[in-house]
Parts: sequence; C-alpha cells; structure tokens
Amino acid sequence: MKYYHEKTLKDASFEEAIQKVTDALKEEGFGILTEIDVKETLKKKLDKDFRPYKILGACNPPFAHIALLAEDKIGAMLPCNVIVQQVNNGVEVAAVDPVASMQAVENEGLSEIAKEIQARLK
Amino acid sequence: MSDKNKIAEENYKESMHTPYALSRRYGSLTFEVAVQNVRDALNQMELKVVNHFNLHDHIQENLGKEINRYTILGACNAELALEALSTENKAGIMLPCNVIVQEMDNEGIIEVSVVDPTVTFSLAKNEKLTTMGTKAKERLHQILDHIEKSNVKL
Repeated sequence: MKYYHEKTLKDASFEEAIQKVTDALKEEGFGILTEIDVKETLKKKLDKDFRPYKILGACNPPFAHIALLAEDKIGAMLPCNVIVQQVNNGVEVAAVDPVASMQAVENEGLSEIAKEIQARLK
Repeated sequence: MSDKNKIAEENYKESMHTPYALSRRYGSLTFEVAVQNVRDALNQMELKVVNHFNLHDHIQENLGKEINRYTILGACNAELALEALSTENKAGIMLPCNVIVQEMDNEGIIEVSVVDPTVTFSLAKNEKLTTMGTKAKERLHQILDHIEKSNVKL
C-alpha cells in the first residue's frame, strides 16, 4: 500500500506551493501546527546544502479528539504530515495516507476516522 | 507505599507495548518536570526537539473541550534525517519521531510514550529505511530509562 498521495505543481514557486497547501488544508478544516524547514535545519546542523523541503504537520481538531478518545497514545502518530519539496519539474507536494499510517495502530475504531481524513487530505 | 507510588512502580518495571509505541508510567514527576526531563533525555541522545505541541491547548481552543494535559514532542537527529531523506525523498512524511507526555486519570501519574520508528519507517517498504528505523529506535527508547533519573536530587 502506498503511504502517500502526491501531486507536482509545475507552475508554482516553492513559496506559492506552501501557500496553496496551507489554504487547501484550511478549507478542509486542517490547521498547520508544526513546520520544519529541512533545508535550513540541515544547513545549520550539518552545513549541508539541501533542496527546499518543508514538513508541515496538519491537524483537524475534531478528528484528533475522536482519535484520542479511541486510542490514548495516538499522539505518537500525529499530526498528519504534508511535505513540500522542490523537484526538477516543479514543486512536489505529498500528503501521508492516514489509512496506511493508522493501520499500524491496529485499532478498528480508528480506521473509519482515517478514511475520512484520507478523503480530505487528497 | 502510597497508591500513586505503587502504580508508578508497577508500571515502571513493565513497560507497555502497543504495536506502534513503547510507554512507561512515572509517579514521581509533575507534568512540567516530565516534559523537561524528556527534552533533556532526548538531548543527551543527540535527538533535537524540533516540534513541541500541546494537544490539550489545541483541543481547548478549537473545541472548548477539556482533556488531560498532553504534549507531543517531535525529535530528530540531523544526520539520521539526512540519511533517510537521501534514501527516500518522501521520508519527511515519517519525520520527526514523536514522544508524547500525558497526564493519566490516576492523580499524579504521568505516562511517556515513544513511537516505534521501525513501524513508521517500514511504511515505505524500503529495506534501508527500515534498518535506519532500528537505529533510531535504539536511541529513542533509551530515553525512558533517563526520564526519572535526571530528576534525582541528592
């Protein structure tokens, strides 16, 4: 099972892609809780040059709450990550498939929620 | 021995496995101290906290619902992260590795859970990445032994 859904934005700059992703997540009720600038971190820590790459952590509060009630350690798998990276032919956006990631939890109550979130993240 | 210490001691001896995380309970720490000690223990293992997120605040602000305090810390080692990203360009989806600190309903009991990166990293079905998950797991799971010790006052 593929663990992500991806799309390449051909005519967007990296910053525009980040904005588009943020807006699209907001429309589906997801806020961005965490943001890791991988390029900046690798430069700072290891002095390595890396392509523009950000990890955005998205969360939908009602879903998070339901998930938490079903499985109290689910925070170990939250938030849902969306990655944005510069590739040769544009900017690639990939969102985790929560159905795949939540499978590991082996909790049936969660799989329904995961399917709903999957539909929204797509 | 108080009930609180008894629960903590029993739990301390037997870590709880879920299919995706390893957890341990502590009775001698306040929530704030537990979060700080987790941060210190991660630091000792050369795992940097890149995310700190209070889920209880988020639920309260957005839904007006009270839940027990619940903090999600995202930890990462830059060298391991670079290795993972060089192997699989979408490995960022599995990063960082989470450690959660939550207050339990039993008063004064704090539970710390560390994700099992061999489970999250195996999503990619990439053997090299799964091996890296094992390396990360060794480091991450050791922190459970250090959380209480770093609070010992002589």
